[in-house]
Amino acid sequence: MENLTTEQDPARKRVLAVASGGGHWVQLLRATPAFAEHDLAYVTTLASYRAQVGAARFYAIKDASRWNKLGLMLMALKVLVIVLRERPDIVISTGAAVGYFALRIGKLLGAKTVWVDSIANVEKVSLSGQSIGKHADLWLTQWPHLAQPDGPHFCGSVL
Amino acid sequence: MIFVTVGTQLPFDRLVKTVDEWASVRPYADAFAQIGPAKYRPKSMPFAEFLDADECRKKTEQADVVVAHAGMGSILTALELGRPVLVMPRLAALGEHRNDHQLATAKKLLAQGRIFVAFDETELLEKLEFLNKYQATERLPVCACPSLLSTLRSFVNGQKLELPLVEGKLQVDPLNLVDVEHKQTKHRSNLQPLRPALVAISGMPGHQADVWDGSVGDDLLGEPQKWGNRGVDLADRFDSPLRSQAATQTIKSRLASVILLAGRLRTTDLAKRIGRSRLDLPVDATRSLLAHWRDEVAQLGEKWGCDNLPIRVLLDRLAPTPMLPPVIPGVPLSVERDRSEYRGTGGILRDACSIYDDEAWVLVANAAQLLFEELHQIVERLAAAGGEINVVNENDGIPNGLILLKCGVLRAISDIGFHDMKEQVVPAMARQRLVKVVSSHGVTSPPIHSLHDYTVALRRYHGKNTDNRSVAGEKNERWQSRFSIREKGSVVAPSAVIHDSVVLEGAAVEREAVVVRSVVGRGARIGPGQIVVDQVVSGTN
Repeated sequence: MENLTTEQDPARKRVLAVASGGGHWVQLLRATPAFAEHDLAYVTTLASYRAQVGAARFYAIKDASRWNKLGLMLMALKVLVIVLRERPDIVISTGAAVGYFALRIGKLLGAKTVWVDSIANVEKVSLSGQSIGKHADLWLTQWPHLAQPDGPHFCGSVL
Repeated sequence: MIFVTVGTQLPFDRLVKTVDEWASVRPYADAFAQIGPAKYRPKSMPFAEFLDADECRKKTEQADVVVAHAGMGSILTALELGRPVLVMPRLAALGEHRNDHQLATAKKLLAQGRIFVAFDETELLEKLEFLNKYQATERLPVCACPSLLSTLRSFVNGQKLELPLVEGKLQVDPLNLVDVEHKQTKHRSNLQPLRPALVAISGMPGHQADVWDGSVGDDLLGEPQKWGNRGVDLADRFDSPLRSQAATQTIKSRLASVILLAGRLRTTDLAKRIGRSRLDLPVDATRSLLAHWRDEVAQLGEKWGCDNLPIRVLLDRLAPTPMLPPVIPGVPLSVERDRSEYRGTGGILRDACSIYDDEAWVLVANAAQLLFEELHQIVERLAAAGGEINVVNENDGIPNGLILLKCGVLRAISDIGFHDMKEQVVPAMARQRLVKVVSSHGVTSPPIHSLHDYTVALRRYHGKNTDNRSVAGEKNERWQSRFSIREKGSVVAPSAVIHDSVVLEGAAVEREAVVVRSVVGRGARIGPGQIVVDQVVSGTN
């Protein structure tokens, strides 16, 4: 399965945008206009969001948090399948477990990764952010006072 | 319609129940609640456990106001649709969330003026009563801020990113001042080395700085403004001229900006009738009140050897934006709007000064005042007083609003609640910090709220420029006009009499009309022979 799209138009990248449902998702949708000219696919945890992404490819998988180990493993597996199918050039996430897996797996398979820490993390970077940050090629926070010289960096917010 | 929403993940009965009980005694309340996986079932309003994204947006759009938990999904959706949103944060202590991040988010966004917050049920009940005061706002653009988007875009396209370096404190705009009209955005660096002491102190004989121990703060409720002059005590005895000199030198080298507070606590009839900011009122033929401050600050900068002394005008969310007078080199002028709910000058100042170092100094003043003495003279006295917060009291014991302070002292002001700088913060701080009071006599006018304040201030201001003796002699003789200001763009017939009055641009005063202690506003016409006394005449009446 060769990645035809990329070969046809090298400037057009395959972007996998990932967030769990709720606030992370709303933030993700505010950030993805940056990828308008690229080939976008979404992964989230609520199927009802499909209507919001228009013609873009869309995957919904069951949510899990760090208190549900089995759920997490299943989630990781599903994410692996999606990443294998999508073969993204870029993986971007605004948060939570599903984004963590997407970034780790995406990175293993050669994608460039972006973690935009949720704007709800005002006092410190999120747990998943702390563990994923060093693995992300671009690690951003949405609050200037949380920025560090080695990341997360601050380049504005979704507001 | 009030749309209550708590997100999909967790119940938030405390919020739903409070609104439900409130709605039960407010039959006119029209509310709909999305309650999540909750046990509590509302009795006084229709509800749903979950709404899908589309339904949720639809409900938000239909609502006049959204009452929500402090989740970013609910908040962003409301802001995107331009709906005012009142949030109550979930608390970890009550098992409502895993941690208190909602509390932190709520405080931050409150400080940015984007949302309204009730921190507990009592406050929620109070605020529910006033929901009809919340107005629809401008819709948030549908995508993230341009700098984030462009960073992401460059990243995807494989371009080299220019990530901002973090060095100590970031130079960011903590108030998220959307209306900023920065003529020059860079504020003076406060990290300059101390300049060598070479200026002799121009101490003002007869002006004694008093240490104020803050004890008045205890009877704030009684007489909030009377700070009373304490006799010369302890700290003054230690204040040798040398020490004052050192204090002045330090402040001279570290004065970061002059901050003019121009929020309006109450609407003034004068400003409303003339349809412009009070800061745009003329003080003489060519200058507005703001231009008057600009000139005074320029002179201060010159005397103190500051190459760059910015003026920052801070407006609250409702105040009209003043027109900016031409900028003098070295005195950049910016107008910044604090969009938060009114929370007192203390909080506004703390945020405005968070870009400065703890050791930087700022001069704070009420913009709607005229200065009767040159600003640099007043500030010299304040600086020589040697406190960390130096204030000017008029002889009647009332502070006049001029405060020279070290930015570090502002850090202690709490994030939430209403803190008036003059009446609450300074009295409270006097317990830990060295607050000095410089007594003075009429160096500033009282704040200009009304026509009376304005004309009285102008009489005094213009009096000081004429021969002092004759002014003293006819102090109370109001028949002698001291000023007659015709703004450029006004039409005044030669035979008209403008007595202690101001004719604004776009106004007309015809022949033989007499205007006394009045302001004639844009579009107004005083007909031939008409007599106007003590009035604001606007175009519409």
